[in-house]
Amino acid sequence: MSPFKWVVLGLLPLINGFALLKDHLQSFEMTRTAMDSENLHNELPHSTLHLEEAEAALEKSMELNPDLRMEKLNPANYRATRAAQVAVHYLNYKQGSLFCHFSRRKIENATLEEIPGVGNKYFLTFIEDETPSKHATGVYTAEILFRHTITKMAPEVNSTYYGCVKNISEDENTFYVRMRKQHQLVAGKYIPDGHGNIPTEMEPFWHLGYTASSYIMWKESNESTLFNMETVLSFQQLETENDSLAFDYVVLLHEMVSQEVTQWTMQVCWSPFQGVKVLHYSQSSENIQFPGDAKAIMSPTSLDK
Amino acid sequence: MRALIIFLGFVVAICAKKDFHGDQVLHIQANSEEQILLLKELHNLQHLKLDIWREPLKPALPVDIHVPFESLQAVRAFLEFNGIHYSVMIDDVQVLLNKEKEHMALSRSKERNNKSYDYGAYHTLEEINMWMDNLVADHPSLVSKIQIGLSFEGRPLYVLKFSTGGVKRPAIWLDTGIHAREWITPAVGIWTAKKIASDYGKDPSLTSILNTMDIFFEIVTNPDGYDFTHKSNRMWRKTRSINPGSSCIGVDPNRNWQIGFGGPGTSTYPCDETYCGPFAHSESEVRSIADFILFHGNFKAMITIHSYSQMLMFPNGYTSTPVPNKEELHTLAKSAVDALASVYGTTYTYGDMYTTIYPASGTTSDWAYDNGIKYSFTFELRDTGHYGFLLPAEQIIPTAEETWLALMKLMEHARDNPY
Repeated sequence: MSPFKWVVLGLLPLINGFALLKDHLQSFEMTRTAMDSENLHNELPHSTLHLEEAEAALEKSMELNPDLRMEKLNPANYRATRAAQVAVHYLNYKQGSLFCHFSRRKIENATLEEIPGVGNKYFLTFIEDETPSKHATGVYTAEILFRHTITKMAPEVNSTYYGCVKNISEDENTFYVRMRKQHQLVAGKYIPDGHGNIPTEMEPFWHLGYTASSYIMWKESNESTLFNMETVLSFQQLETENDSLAFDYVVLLHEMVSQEVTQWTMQVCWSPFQGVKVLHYSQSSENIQFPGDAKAIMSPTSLDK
Repeated sequence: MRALIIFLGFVVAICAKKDFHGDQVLHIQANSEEQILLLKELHNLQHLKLDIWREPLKPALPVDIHVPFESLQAVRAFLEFNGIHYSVMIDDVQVLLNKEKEHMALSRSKERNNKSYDYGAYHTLEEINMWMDNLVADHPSLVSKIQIGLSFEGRPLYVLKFSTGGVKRPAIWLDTGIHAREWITPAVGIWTAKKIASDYGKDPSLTSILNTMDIFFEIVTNPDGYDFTHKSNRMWRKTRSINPGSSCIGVDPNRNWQIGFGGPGTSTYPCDETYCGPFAHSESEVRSIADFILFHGNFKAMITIHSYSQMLMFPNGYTSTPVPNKEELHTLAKSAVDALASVYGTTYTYGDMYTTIYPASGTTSDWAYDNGIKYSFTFELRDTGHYGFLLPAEQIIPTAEETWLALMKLMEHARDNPY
């Protein structure tokens, strides 16, 4: 097959993906394209995407280069899975929502483009979820670029997805107002605990830890990793001088390829207006004990209404 | 109406004495016959409602009396007035009763039968061992318990044998819990073992499987690790063997098998999670299974169950070279995964281990295949990372129910394709 045919083949799934978009423009709140630059951290465009514009953008990024190496991947191949996971982590952090998260859906099509001197780029389309729920949202298509540089660089992600339903921001505001009313700083441990249990009162702190961890997981990912957050080992609310809530978090991250579970500390800020921000993070050498039969605990045991 | 209220009041009064809040048990030391007589008189005062635990007999022997809260003041005043020495043996009877009740409830859960066993919860090693004995007791003509060896720390390695007779019939091997932190797997294993025992004689397909084949099921394949996850570190994966010359403990039991040992996807560093060990079958947990299967000589299927990722995989893991019957295994995996999805819509990916999850050498599945077991599969159960190893207990039974359909597909195929 000539390189041209490979290129077209590679494009096809993306074009099909955009066909889905057209149908969904009516049924969902917002359709956004996440840009791959960190400068747009909080300025996600809220405009709806037009099919023709998207196709034009795609074609522009595509060059008929004889050196182009495109390979169709089996959707069950771990390379596609790892790239998809990176897209999910990136989007969870960028969207910065407390209560609405992306999850990794089954991959429909996967193509790998090896760009000499640059790195590997993955093009993925996902099988649509029949029952989107209030707290979960999904990705339609994703492009993930892993640069092959000497110094570690975070993967770059470009994708189309559908956003969270409006009620989420009400939930976030309610939680924010409640937290601002507390008379003492909130702290807790083990969310979930060894039995996978998360007390209802502690759920928002789990969500915050999950969104914040997505930042670490995105930044630390490469083609040989697949990260998931296992638990929030501990969190401690901090005093702030501004409107944000701030916390010290210690989380356990599981990396599938090495099977290592490592401890990470991070300082996290959140408000409904700013979203979730990780101020700094590091891998922790201190080991917090996590016995399987220990129970989740929070102080105070419940938030004042 | 008034009569009813009075009657109810009467009933309440009778029942009221079930509460022993504030009641005390006094330990009394009489020092003379006179004091003994006084205590006997005390007992005769019916309105005090004293309950004598140890009768006043003679001065050398102590007297124990359960005094209801309402009578305490009067009794203490009497004792003090008469100079009778006493101490408070139990200062709140109700508290003691509550503790007893709690303890009994706990022991009741360690009952002599599995009627109260909670299949939708995670259990300790002790509870699982008790459950195993109860399963055998409940289904004695079908199930027996074998010990195939000892763990590093000396715990017995138990295997449940499901057999309707014969001598060394073609057999199916199932194991769960080889990696300690994968709690969902022994939990599913327990439900599945119960399912096999219950459905024999009722489900035609399972019955026909057991009429011609035996099933061997090791529920807690790594008991040292499993116990450690409960008491110390929920994220422990490996065995708990000591590595000479290193402060790090444990070997990855799913890298320790004699097949491509030490190859891709393993580590030679004892502190790593995929440490393959000093040599193949160095771990007794692994060696015991290998010896058992080889000695038996008639195993036809091997299914090893892990979590998480929602995958069903077949060999090879140690090399990208496909196995001879790759097409057959691929088709079979697809039918199993489709059956699984039909229950709750849970989607699995499937394929050879090397390309589906990662290259991994020295695995159970590859070893079994290399030793002539054509139908060799590895499950990675729920979920895909949302909770990971910490899968909430309410997902145990749904996971078991969907996995069962996949297991049946694999076992039926082994039954229908003898070799």
